[in-house]
Amino acid sequence: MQNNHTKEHLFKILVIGDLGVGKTSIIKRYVHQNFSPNYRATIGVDFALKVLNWDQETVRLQLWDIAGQERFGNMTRVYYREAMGAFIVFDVTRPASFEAITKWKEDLDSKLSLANGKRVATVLLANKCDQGGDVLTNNGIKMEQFCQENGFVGWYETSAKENINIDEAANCLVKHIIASENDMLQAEVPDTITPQLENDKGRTCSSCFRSQ
Amino acid sequence: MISVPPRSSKACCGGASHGSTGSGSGPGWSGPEPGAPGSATHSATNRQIQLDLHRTLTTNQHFSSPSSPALQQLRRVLLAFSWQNPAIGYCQGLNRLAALALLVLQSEEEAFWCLVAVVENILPPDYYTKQLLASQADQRVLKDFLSEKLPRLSAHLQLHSVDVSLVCFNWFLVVFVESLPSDLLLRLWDAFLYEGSKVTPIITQIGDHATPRSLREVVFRYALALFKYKEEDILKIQDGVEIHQYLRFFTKTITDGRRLTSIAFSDMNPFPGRLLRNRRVLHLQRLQAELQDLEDQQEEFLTENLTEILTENRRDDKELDVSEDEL
Repeated sequence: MQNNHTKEHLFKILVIGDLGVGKTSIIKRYVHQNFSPNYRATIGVDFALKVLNWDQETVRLQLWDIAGQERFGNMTRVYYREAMGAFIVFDVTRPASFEAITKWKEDLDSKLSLANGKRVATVLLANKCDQGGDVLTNNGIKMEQFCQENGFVGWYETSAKENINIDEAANCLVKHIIASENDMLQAEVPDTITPQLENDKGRTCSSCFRSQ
Repeated sequence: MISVPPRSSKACCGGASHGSTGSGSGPGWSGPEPGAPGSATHSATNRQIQLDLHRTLTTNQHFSSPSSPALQQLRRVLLAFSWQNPAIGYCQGLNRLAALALLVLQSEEEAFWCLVAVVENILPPDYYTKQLLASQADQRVLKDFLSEKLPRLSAHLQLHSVDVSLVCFNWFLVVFVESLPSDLLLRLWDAFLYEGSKVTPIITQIGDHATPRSLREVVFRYALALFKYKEEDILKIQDGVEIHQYLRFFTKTITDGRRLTSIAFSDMNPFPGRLLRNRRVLHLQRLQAELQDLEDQQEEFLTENLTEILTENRRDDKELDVSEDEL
Protein backbone atom coordinates (compact mmCIF):
# COMPACT_ATOMS: atom_id res chain seq x y z
CA MET A 1 0.00 0.00 0.00
CA GLN A 2 2.93 2.32 0.69
CA ASN A 3 4.29 4.23 -2.25
CA ASN A 4 7.90 3.53 -2.95
CA HIS A 5 10.39 5.08 -5.32
CA THR A 6 10.17 2.34 -7.90
CA LYS A 7 6.43 2.60 -8.26
CA GLU A 8 5.32 2.92 -11.85
CA HIS A 9 1.95 4.15 -13.03
CA LEU A 10 0.38 3.27 -16.34
CA PHE A 11 -2.49 5.47 -17.41
CA LYS A 12 -4.56 4.97 -20.49
CA ILE A 13 -5.63 8.33 -21.89
CA LEU A 14 -8.16 8.86 -24.64
CA VAL A 15 -7.94 11.63 -27.20
CA ILE A 16 -11.31 12.19 -28.83
CA GLY A 17 -13.14 14.84 -30.82
CA ASP A 18 -14.39 15.50 -34.33
CA LEU A 19 -12.57 14.63 -37.51
CA GLY A 20 -9.63 16.87 -38.34
CA VAL A 21 -9.49 18.89 -35.11
CA GLY A 22 -5.84 17.95 -34.56
CA LYS A 23 -5.90 14.97 -32.20
CA THR A 24 -3.01 13.22 -33.93
CA SER A 25 -1.02 16.47 -34.16
CA ILE A 26 -1.44 17.12 -30.44
CA ILE A 27 -0.20 13.62 -29.64
CA LYS A 28 2.77 13.87 -32.03
CA ARG A 29 3.70 17.23 -30.53
CA TYR A 30 3.45 15.89 -27.00
CA VAL A 31 5.29 12.63 -27.60
CA HIS A 32 7.74 13.43 -30.42
CA GLN A 33 8.02 17.22 -30.05
CA ASN A 34 7.34 17.84 -33.72
CA PHE A 35 4.57 18.93 -36.05
CA SER A 36 3.61 18.23 -39.63
CA PRO A 37 0.65 19.84 -41.44
CA ASN A 38 -0.28 16.54 -43.02
CA TYR A 39 -0.50 13.56 -40.75
CA ARG A 40 -2.63 10.91 -42.38
CA ALA A 41 -6.20 10.60 -41.23
CA THR A 42 -6.52 8.13 -38.36
CA ILE A 43 -8.58 5.04 -39.11
CA GLY A 44 -9.95 3.23 -36.08
CA VAL A 45 -7.36 3.89 -33.41
CA ASP A 46 -3.65 4.56 -33.06
CA PHE A 47 -1.36 4.48 -30.01
CA ALA A 48 1.47 6.52 -28.59
CA LEU A 49 3.48 6.20 -25.42
CA LYS A 50 4.83 9.03 -23.28
CA VAL A 51 6.96 8.44 -20.21
CA LEU A 52 7.04 11.10 -17.50
CA ASN A 53 8.85 11.54 -14.21
CA TRP A 54 6.29 12.60 -11.69
CA ASP A 55 7.30 13.19 -8.04
CA GLN A 56 10.08 10.62 -8.34
CA GLU A 57 7.71 8.11 -9.82
CA THR A 58 7.49 6.96 -13.40
CA VAL A 59 4.26 7.64 -15.18
CA ARG A 60 3.64 5.91 -18.49
CA LEU A 61 0.86 7.45 -20.52
CA GLN A 62 -0.65 5.31 -23.23
CA LEU A 63 -2.41 7.79 -25.50
CA TRP A 64 -5.26 6.42 -27.60
CA ASP A 65 -5.74 8.46 -30.73
CA ILE A 66 -9.30 7.69 -31.76
CA ALA A 67 -10.69 8.31 -35.25
CA GLY A 68 -13.06 11.27 -35.31
CA GLN A 69 -15.62 10.09 -37.81
CA GLU A 70 -18.96 9.40 -36.22
CA ARG A 71 -19.35 5.89 -37.61
CA PHE A 72 -16.29 4.71 -35.71
CA GLY A 73 -18.29 5.62 -32.59
CA ASN A 74 -19.67 2.12 -32.66
CA MET A 75 -16.35 0.83 -31.53
CA THR A 76 -15.61 3.48 -28.92
CA ARG A 77 -16.92 1.23 -26.16
CA VAL A 78 -13.99 -1.09 -26.80
CA TYR A 79 -11.55 1.80 -27.15
CA TYR A 80 -12.67 3.52 -23.93
CA ARG A 81 -12.30 0.44 -21.73
CA GLU A 82 -10.14 1.00 -18.63
CA ALA A 83 -9.13 4.52 -19.59
CA MET A 84 -8.23 6.80 -16.68
CA GLY A 85 -8.51 10.16 -18.39
CA ALA A 86 -9.41 11.88 -21.61
CA PHE A 87 -8.80 14.90 -23.76
CA ILE A 88 -11.72 16.12 -25.81
CA VAL A 89 -10.49 18.29 -28.63
CA PHE A 90 -12.17 20.85 -30.87
CA ASP A 91 -10.92 23.20 -33.55
CA VAL A 92 -11.40 26.89 -32.66
CA THR A 93 -11.84 27.72 -36.33
CA ARG A 94 -14.75 25.27 -36.77
CA PRO A 95 -17.83 26.00 -34.63
CA ALA A 96 -19.37 22.61 -35.49
CA SER A 97 -16.47 20.85 -33.80
CA PHE A 98 -17.19 22.80 -30.62
CA GLU A 99 -20.88 21.95 -30.78
CA ALA A 100 -19.89 18.28 -30.94
CA ILE A 101 -18.05 18.51 -27.59
CA THR A 102 -21.11 17.73 -25.48
CA LYS A 103 -21.90 14.77 -27.72
CA TRP A 104 -18.39 13.38 -27.20
CA LYS A 105 -18.59 13.98 -23.45
CA GLU A 106 -21.92 12.18 -23.23
CA ASP A 107 -20.59 9.29 -25.27
CA LEU A 108 -17.61 9.04 -22.94
CA ASP A 109 -19.60 9.24 -19.70
CA SER A 110 -22.22 6.76 -20.88
CA LYS A 111 -19.58 4.16 -21.74
CA LEU A 112 -16.87 4.68 -19.17
CA SER A 113 -16.52 5.29 -15.45
CA LEU A 114 -13.85 4.67 -12.83
CA ALA A 115 -13.94 1.69 -10.49
CA ASN A 116 -15.64 3.90 -7.86
CA GLY A 117 -18.35 4.89 -10.32
CA LYS A 118 -17.02 8.40 -10.82
CA ARG A 119 -16.42 9.94 -14.21
CA VAL A 120 -12.90 9.91 -15.62
CA ALA A 121 -10.96 13.17 -15.53
CA THR A 122 -11.45 15.01 -18.81
CA VAL A 123 -9.67 18.10 -20.10
CA LEU A 124 -11.07 20.20 -22.93
CA LEU A 125 -8.64 21.38 -25.60
CA ALA A 126 -9.42 24.35 -27.86
CA ASN A 127 -6.90 23.52 -30.55
CA LYS A 128 -5.47 25.54 -33.45
CA CYS A 129 -5.52 28.67 -31.27
CA ASP A 130 -2.70 30.04 -33.43
CA GLN A 131 -5.34 30.48 -36.16
CA GLY A 132 -7.60 32.65 -34.02
CA GLY A 133 -10.20 31.94 -31.36
CA ASP A 134 -13.25 33.26 -33.14
CA VAL A 135 -15.48 30.41 -32.04
CA LEU A 136 -14.85 31.25 -28.42
CA THR A 137 -14.98 35.03 -28.52
CA ASN A 138 -17.74 35.56 -31.06
CA ASN A 139 -20.17 33.34 -29.24
CA GLY A 140 -19.43 34.87 -25.85
CA ILE A 141 -18.92 31.42 -24.43
CA LYS A 142 -17.76 31.45 -20.84
CA MET A 143 -15.41 28.52 -20.90
CA GLU A 144 -15.03 28.12 -17.14
CA GLN A 145 -18.76 27.87 -16.77
CA PHE A 146 -19.03 25.56 -19.76
CA CYS A 147 -16.41 23.25 -18.22
CA GLN A 148 -18.14 23.21 -14.87
CA GLU A 149 -21.53 22.48 -16.37
CA ASN A 150 -20.17 19.74 -18.58
CA GLY A 151 -17.85 18.06 -16.11
CA PHE A 152 -14.44 19.02 -17.48
CA VAL A 153 -11.64 19.37 -14.94
CA GLY A 154 -10.04 22.12 -17.03
CA TRP A 155 -9.58 23.60 -20.47
CA TYR A 156 -6.67 24.94 -22.50
CA GLU A 157 -6.24 26.88 -25.68
CA THR A 158 -3.70 24.78 -27.51
CA SER A 159 -1.71 24.81 -30.69
CA ALA A 160 0.08 21.65 -31.73
CA LYS A 161 1.69 23.67 -34.50
CA GLU A 162 3.14 26.37 -32.25
CA ASN A 163 3.54 24.12 -29.23
CA ILE A 164 1.21 26.09 -27.00
CA ASN A 165 -0.14 24.63 -23.77
CA ILE A 166 0.20 20.97 -24.75
CA ASP A 167 2.46 20.04 -21.83
CA GLU A 168 0.39 22.18 -19.45
CA ALA A 169 -2.82 20.44 -20.48
CA ALA A 170 -1.23 17.02 -20.11
CA ASN A 171 0.12 17.87 -16.66
CA CYS A 172 -3.30 19.06 -15.59
CA LEU A 173 -4.85 15.80 -16.72
CA VAL A 174 -2.19 13.65 -15.06
CA LYS A 175 -2.57 15.61 -11.82
CA HIS A 176 -6.31 14.91 -11.79
CA ILE A 177 -5.83 11.26 -12.69
CA ILE A 178 -3.39 10.77 -9.83
CA ALA A 179 -5.74 12.58 -7.47
CA SER A 180 -8.66 10.39 -8.49
CA GLU A 181 -6.48 7.30 -8.16
CA ASN A 182 -5.51 8.33 -4.63
CA ASP A 183 -9.17 8.99 -3.89
CA MET A 184 -10.03 5.49 -4.93
CA LEU A 185 -7.24 3.95 -2.90
CA GLN A 186 -8.23 5.86 0.22
CA ALA A 187 -11.88 5.08 -0.26
CA GLU A 188 -11.06 1.41 -0.61
CA VAL A 189 -9.03 1.16 2.57
CA PRO A 190 -11.85 1.23 5.14
CA ASP A 191 -13.87 -1.21 3.06
CA THR A 192 -11.19 -3.76 2.55
CA ILE A 193 -8.96 -3.61 5.62
CA THR A 194 -10.53 -3.64 9.02
CA PRO A 195 -8.43 -2.51 12.04
CA GLN A 196 -8.80 -5.94 13.63
CA LEU A 197 -6.75 -7.62 10.97
CA GLU A 198 -3.03 -8.01 11.63
CA ASN A 199 -2.01 -7.28 8.10
CA ASP A 200 -3.14 -6.87 4.53
CA LYS A 201 -3.75 -10.55 3.99
CA GLY A 202 -7.44 -10.23 4.59
CA ARG A 203 -7.88 -8.07 1.56
CA THR A 204 -10.16 -9.89 -0.81
CA CYS A 205 -11.06 -7.21 -3.26
CA SER A 206 -7.75 -6.97 -5.04
CA SER A 207 -9.40 -6.39 -8.36
CA CYS A 208 -10.53 -2.98 -7.19
CA PHE A 209 -6.93 -1.86 -7.21
CA ARG A 210 -5.18 -0.94 -10.35
CA SER A 211 -2.28 -3.30 -10.22
CA GLN A 212 -1.49 -3.60 -13.88
CA MET B 1 6.40 5.83 -51.95
CA ILE B 2 4.09 4.01 -54.33
CA SER B 3 6.06 2.97 -57.39
CA VAL B 4 4.96 2.83 -61.00
CA PRO B 5 2.28 0.17 -61.08
CA PRO B 6 2.97 -3.21 -62.58
CA ARG B 7 0.80 -3.93 -65.59
CA SER B 8 -1.05 -6.67 -63.82
CA SER B 9 -2.45 -4.27 -61.22
CA LYS B 10 -3.79 -2.05 -63.92
CA ALA B 11 -5.26 -4.96 -65.82
CA CYS B 12 -6.89 -6.31 -62.67
CA CYS B 13 -8.33 -3.02 -61.48
CA GLY B 14 -9.54 -2.33 -64.97
CA GLY B 15 -11.08 -5.78 -65.17
CA ALA B 16 -12.81 -5.34 -61.85
CA SER B 17 -14.13 -1.95 -62.82
CA HIS B 18 -15.52 -3.03 -66.16
CA GLY B 19 -17.08 -6.03 -64.55
CA SER B 20 -18.96 -3.80 -62.20
CA THR B 21 -20.14 -1.23 -64.69
CA GLY B 22 -23.86 -1.27 -64.67
CA SER B 23 -24.12 -3.54 -61.64
CA GLY B 24 -24.19 -0.64 -59.16
CA SER B 25 -27.49 0.84 -58.15
CA GLY B 26 -26.32 4.44 -57.90
CA PRO B 27 -26.11 7.16 -60.53
CA GLY B 28 -22.59 6.16 -61.56
CA TRP B 29 -19.81 8.42 -62.71
CA SER B 30 -21.12 11.88 -63.37
CA GLY B 31 -17.87 13.78 -63.38
CA PRO B 32 -17.31 16.80 -61.21
CA GLU B 33 -20.90 18.08 -61.27
CA PRO B 34 -22.69 17.70 -57.95
CA GLY B 35 -25.49 15.18 -58.00
CA ALA B 36 -27.29 15.79 -54.74
CA PRO B 37 -26.36 19.23 -53.53
CA GLY B 38 -27.97 21.19 -50.78
CA SER B 39 -28.80 18.49 -48.24
CA ALA B 40 -27.19 18.59 -44.80
CA THR B 41 -25.74 15.11 -45.19
CA HIS B 42 -24.31 16.13 -48.50
CA SER B 43 -22.46 19.11 -47.07
CA ALA B 44 -21.22 17.12 -44.05
CA THR B 45 -19.87 14.47 -46.41
CA ASN B 46 -18.31 17.13 -48.57
CA ARG B 47 -16.57 18.67 -45.57
CA GLN B 48 -15.28 15.34 -44.28
CA ILE B 49 -13.85 14.48 -47.69
CA GLN B 50 -12.25 17.90 -47.91
CA LEU B 51 -10.63 17.44 -44.49
CA ASP B 52 -9.13 14.10 -45.48
CA LEU B 53 -7.73 15.08 -48.89
CA HIS B 54 -4.38 16.35 -47.67
CA ARG B 55 -4.23 13.51 -45.13
CA THR B 56 -4.16 10.75 -47.75
CA LEU B 57 -1.02 8.93 -48.98
CA THR B 58 0.94 11.79 -47.45
CA THR B 59 4.30 10.25 -48.30
CA ASN B 60 3.47 9.97 -52.00
CA GLN B 61 4.69 12.80 -54.21
CA HIS B 62 1.40 12.98 -56.12
CA PHE B 63 -0.56 13.60 -52.96
CA SER B 64 1.86 15.39 -50.66
CA SER B 65 1.61 18.85 -52.23
CA PRO B 66 -1.53 20.86 -51.35
CA SER B 67 -1.71 22.20 -54.91
CA SER B 68 -1.40 18.81 -56.58
CA PRO B 69 -4.19 18.08 -59.10
CA ALA B 70 -4.39 14.56 -57.64
CA LEU B 71 -6.09 15.97 -54.54
CA GLN B 72 -8.93 17.44 -56.60
CA GLN B 73 -9.25 14.19 -58.55
CA LEU B 74 -9.45 12.35 -55.25
CA ARG B 75 -12.13 14.76 -54.02
CA ARG B 76 -14.25 14.19 -57.13
CA VAL B 77 -13.91 10.41 -56.99
CA LEU B 78 -14.92 10.30 -53.32
CA LEU B 79 -17.76 12.73 -53.81
CA ALA B 80 -19.07 10.79 -56.80
CA PHE B 81 -18.84 7.63 -54.76
CA SER B 82 -20.87 9.19 -51.95
CA TRP B 83 -23.69 9.85 -54.42
CA GLN B 84 -23.30 6.45 -56.03
CA ASN B 85 -23.68 4.77 -52.66
CA PRO B 86 -25.57 7.03 -50.23
CA ALA B 87 -25.82 4.23 -47.64
CA ILE B 88 -22.06 4.54 -47.22
CA GLY B 89 -21.57 8.14 -48.24
CA TYR B 90 -18.02 8.78 -47.16
CA CYS B 91 -16.21 6.51 -44.73
CA GLN B 92 -12.65 7.32 -43.68
CA GLY B 93 -10.45 4.73 -45.31
CA LEU B 94 -12.13 5.01 -48.70
CA ASN B 95 -9.77 7.94 -49.31
CA ARG B 96 -6.83 5.56 -49.32
CA LEU B 97 -8.53 3.02 -51.61
CA ALA B 98 -9.49 5.76 -54.06
CA ALA B 99 -6.00 7.26 -53.97
CA LEU B 100 -4.39 3.92 -54.76
CA ALA B 101 -6.82 3.39 -57.63
CA LEU B 102 -6.01 6.86 -58.99
CA LEU B 103 -2.28 6.18 -58.84
CA VAL B 104 -2.54 2.84 -60.59
CA LEU B 105 -5.24 3.58 -63.15
CA GLN B 106 -4.40 7.24 -63.72
CA SER B 107 -7.97 8.05 -64.72
CA GLU B 108 -10.63 9.52 -62.49
CA GLU B 109 -13.46 7.54 -64.01
CA GLU B 110 -11.56 4.25 -63.93
CA ALA B 111 -10.57 4.94 -60.32
CA PHE B 112 -14.19 5.63 -59.46
CA TRP B 113 -15.39 2.35 -60.95
CA CYS B 114 -12.54 0.49 -59.27
CA LEU B 115 -13.63 1.92 -55.91
CA VAL B 116 -17.22 0.91 -56.66
CA ALA B 117 -16.11 -2.60 -57.61
CA VAL B 118 -13.97 -3.06 -54.50
CA VAL B 119 -16.59 -1.75 -52.09
CA GLU B 120 -19.76 -3.07 -53.69
CA ASN B 121 -18.60 -6.33 -55.20
CA ILE B 122 -15.40 -7.54 -53.63
CA LEU B 123 -15.75 -6.60 -49.98
CA PRO B 124 -18.80 -7.88 -48.13
CA PRO B 125 -21.88 -5.68 -47.70
CA ASP B 126 -21.94 -3.38 -44.66
CA TYR B 127 -18.17 -3.00 -44.59
CA TYR B 128 -18.25 0.80 -44.62
CA THR B 129 -21.85 1.58 -43.71
CA LYS B 130 -22.78 3.56 -40.61
CA GLN B 131 -22.27 0.73 -38.13
CA LEU B 132 -19.28 -0.91 -39.83
CA LEU B 133 -20.86 -4.22 -38.87
CA ALA B 134 -19.12 -6.48 -41.36
CA SER B 135 -15.75 -4.92 -40.57
CA GLN B 136 -16.25 -5.60 -36.90
CA ALA B 137 -17.37 -9.15 -37.59
CA ASP B 138 -14.25 -9.77 -39.68
CA GLN B 139 -12.09 -8.87 -36.69
CA ARG B 140 -13.74 -11.55 -34.60
CA VAL B 141 -13.30 -14.03 -37.41
CA LEU B 142 -9.63 -13.06 -37.59
CA LYS B 143 -9.19 -13.66 -33.86
CA ASP B 144 -10.72 -17.12 -34.25
CA PHE B 145 -8.30 -17.96 -37.03
CA LEU B 146 -5.37 -16.48 -35.13
CA SER B 147 -6.01 -18.77 -32.19
CA GLU B 148 -6.22 -21.77 -34.51
CA LYS B 149 -3.31 -21.01 -36.83
CA LEU B 150 -0.99 -19.32 -34.30
CA PRO B 151 -2.06 -20.60 -30.87
CA ARG B 152 1.18 -19.66 -29.10
CA LEU B 153 1.01 -16.06 -30.30
CA SER B 154 -2.69 -15.83 -29.59
CA ALA B 155 -2.13 -16.97 -25.99
CA HIS B 156 0.75 -14.53 -25.59
CA LEU B 157 -1.39 -11.61 -26.75
CA GLN B 158 -4.20 -12.67 -24.49
CA LEU B 159 -1.85 -12.92 -21.52
CA HIS B 160 -0.84 -9.29 -22.07
CA SER B 161 -4.40 -8.15 -22.78
CA VAL B 162 -3.59 -7.13 -26.33
CA ASP B 163 -6.58 -6.98 -28.64
CA VAL B 164 -5.26 -7.44 -32.19
CA SER B 165 -8.42 -6.04 -33.70
CA LEU B 166 -7.34 -2.58 -32.52
CA VAL B 167 -4.56 -2.82 -35.08
CA CYS B 168 -6.04 -5.13 -37.70
CA PHE B 169 -9.37 -3.34 -38.09
CA ASN B 170 -7.39 -0.66 -39.85
CA TRP B 171 -5.62 -3.12 -42.19
CA PHE B 172 -8.89 -4.64 -43.33
CA LEU B 173 -10.77 -1.38 -43.80
CA VAL B 174 -8.10 0.05 -46.09
CA VAL B 175 -6.98 -3.31 -47.53
CA PHE B 176 -3.48 -2.53 -46.20
CA VAL B 177 -3.03 0.76 -48.09
CA GLU B 178 -0.44 2.72 -46.07
CA SER B 179 -0.01 -0.27 -43.75
CA LEU B 180 2.53 -2.11 -45.90
CA PRO B 181 5.58 -1.03 -47.93
CA SER B 182 4.33 -0.23 -51.43
CA ASP B 183 5.93 -3.17 -53.24
CA LEU B 184 4.28 -5.57 -50.81
CA LEU B 185 1.05 -3.64 -50.99
CA LEU B 186 0.83 -3.93 -54.77
CA ARG B 187 1.67 -7.62 -54.59
CA LEU B 188 -1.14 -8.08 -52.09
CA TRP B 189 -3.56 -6.06 -54.22
CA ASP B 190 -2.65 -8.16 -57.23
CA ALA B 191 -3.58 -11.21 -55.22
CA PHE B 192 -6.63 -9.45 -53.80
CA LEU B 193 -7.95 -8.61 -57.26
CA TYR B 194 -6.47 -11.44 -59.30
CA GLU B 195 -5.76 -14.56 -57.22
CA GLY B 196 -9.38 -14.80 -56.30
CA SER B 197 -10.30 -14.64 -59.92
CA LYS B 198 -8.26 -17.77 -60.56
CA VAL B 199 -10.73 -19.67 -58.42
CA THR B 200 -13.82 -18.07 -59.91
CA PRO B 201 -13.38 -15.57 -62.73
CA ILE B 202 -14.07 -12.13 -61.34
CA ILE B 203 -15.43 -10.58 -64.52
CA THR B 204 -18.06 -13.15 -65.33
CA GLN B 205 -19.18 -13.99 -61.84
CA ILE B 206 -19.38 -10.68 -60.09
CA GLY B 207 -22.39 -10.71 -57.86
CA ASP B 208 -22.01 -14.44 -57.29
CA HIS B 209 -21.45 -15.02 -53.60
CA ALA B 210 -18.64 -17.47 -54.26
CA THR B 211 -16.45 -14.74 -55.74
CA PRO B 212 -16.22 -12.31 -52.85
CA ARG B 213 -15.47 -15.20 -50.54
CA SER B 214 -12.27 -16.20 -52.26
CA LEU B 215 -11.14 -12.60 -52.63
CA ARG B 216 -11.78 -11.83 -49.00
CA GLU B 217 -9.78 -14.87 -48.05
CA VAL B 218 -6.65 -13.15 -49.40
CA VAL B 219 -6.92 -10.39 -46.80
CA PHE B 220 -7.24 -12.92 -43.98
CA ARG B 221 -4.35 -14.98 -45.30
CA TYR B 222 -2.07 -11.93 -45.45
CA ALA B 223 -3.11 -10.67 -42.02
CA LEU B 224 -2.28 -14.03 -40.47
CA ALA B 225 0.92 -14.28 -42.51
CA LEU B 226 2.09 -10.92 -41.13
CA PHE B 227 1.74 -12.24 -37.59
CA LYS B 228 3.44 -15.50 -38.52
CA TYR B 229 6.31 -13.63 -40.19
CA LYS B 230 7.07 -11.70 -36.99
CA GLU B 231 5.77 -14.24 -34.47
CA GLU B 232 9.10 -14.78 -32.69
CA ASP B 233 9.68 -11.04 -32.30
CA ILE B 234 6.25 -10.49 -30.78
CA LEU B 235 6.66 -13.45 -28.43
CA LYS B 236 9.78 -11.82 -27.00
CA ILE B 237 7.94 -8.68 -25.88
CA GLN B 238 6.64 -9.10 -22.35
CA ASP B 239 4.66 -5.91 -21.88
CA GLY B 240 1.21 -5.12 -23.24
CA VAL B 241 1.91 -1.46 -23.96
CA GLU B 242 5.15 -2.33 -25.76
CA ILE B 243 3.34 -4.94 -27.84
CA HIS B 244 0.81 -2.30 -28.92
CA GLN B 245 3.66 0.00 -29.89
CA TYR B 246 5.28 -2.79 -31.88
CA LEU B 247 2.12 -3.85 -33.68
CA ARG B 248 1.31 -0.35 -34.88
CA PHE B 249 4.31 -0.22 -37.21
CA PHE B 250 5.75 -3.72 -37.66
CA THR B 251 4.04 -4.30 -40.99
CA LYS B 252 6.22 -1.57 -42.49
CA THR B 253 9.39 -3.40 -41.48
CA ILE B 254 8.61 -6.47 -43.54
CA THR B 255 10.96 -6.71 -46.50
CA ASP B 256 10.70 -10.19 -47.95
CA GLY B 257 7.52 -10.11 -49.98
CA ARG B 258 8.10 -13.53 -51.44
CA ARG B 259 8.34 -15.07 -48.01
CA LEU B 260 5.20 -13.26 -46.84
CA THR B 261 3.24 -14.48 -49.85
CA SER B 262 4.52 -17.99 -49.35
CA ILE B 263 3.40 -17.96 -45.72
CA ALA B 264 0.01 -16.57 -46.76
CA PHE B 265 -0.66 -19.15 -49.43
CA SER B 266 1.05 -22.29 -48.16
CA ASP B 267 1.72 -22.10 -44.40
CA MET B 268 -1.83 -20.93 -43.76
CA ASN B 269 -3.37 -23.92 -45.52
CA PRO B 270 -5.86 -25.43 -45.14
CA PHE B 271 -8.10 -22.40 -45.27
CA PRO B 272 -11.58 -23.57 -46.15
CA GLY B 273 -13.73 -20.79 -47.55
CA ARG B 274 -16.84 -22.36 -46.11
CA LEU B 275 -15.45 -22.09 -42.59
CA LEU B 276 -14.68 -18.43 -43.16
CA ARG B 277 -18.22 -17.86 -44.42
CA ASN B 278 -19.82 -19.68 -41.50
CA ARG B 279 -17.74 -17.83 -38.92
CA ARG B 280 -18.66 -14.54 -40.47
CA VAL B 281 -22.37 -15.32 -40.33
CA LEU B 282 -22.06 -16.41 -36.71
CA HIS B 283 -20.16 -13.30 -35.62
CA LEU B 284 -22.46 -10.99 -37.54
CA GLN B 285 -25.42 -12.43 -35.69
CA ARG B 286 -23.70 -12.07 -32.33
CA LEU B 287 -22.67 -8.51 -33.10
CA GLN B 288 -26.19 -7.56 -34.06
CA ALA B 289 -27.52 -8.97 -30.80
CA GLU B 290 -24.86 -7.11 -28.79
CA LEU B 291 -25.60 -3.88 -30.58
CA GLN B 292 -29.26 -4.23 -29.73
CA ASP B 293 -28.34 -4.72 -26.06
CA LEU B 294 -26.10 -1.67 -26.13
CA GLU B 295 -28.79 0.46 -27.68
CA ASP B 296 -31.16 -0.59 -24.92
CA GLN B 297 -28.57 0.29 -22.27
CA GLN B 298 -27.86 3.62 -23.88
CA GLU B 299 -31.54 4.44 -23.83
CA GLU B 300 -31.71 3.46 -20.18
CA PHE B 301 -28.75 5.73 -19.38
CA LEU B 302 -30.38 8.64 -21.14
CA THR B 303 -33.72 8.06 -19.42
CA GLU B 304 -31.99 7.87 -16.04
CA ASN B 305 -30.17 11.12 -16.73
CA LEU B 306 -33.40 12.75 -17.74
CA THR B 307 -35.17 11.52 -14.61
CA GLU B 308 -32.30 12.86 -12.51
CA ILE B 309 -32.57 16.26 -14.13
CA LEU B 310 -36.35 16.29 -13.73
CA THR B 311 -36.12 15.30 -10.04
CA GLU B 312 -33.54 18.00 -9.49
CA ASN B 313 -35.74 20.58 -11.17
CA ARG B 314 -38.69 19.50 -9.08
CA ARG B 315 -36.57 19.81 -5.93
CA ASP B 316 -35.51 23.28 -7.02
CA ASP B 317 -39.14 24.18 -7.61
CA LYS B 318 -40.09 22.94 -4.16
CA GLU B 319 -37.30 24.90 -2.52
CA LEU B 320 -38.46 27.89 -4.43
CA ASP B 321 -42.00 27.29 -3.20
CA VAL B 322 -40.77 27.01 0.39
CA SER B 323 -38.77 30.19 0.21
CA GLU B 324 -41.72 31.96 -1.33
CA ASP B 325 -43.91 30.67 1.52
CA GLU B 326 -41.40 31.98 4.00
CA LEU B 327 -41.61 35.34 2.40
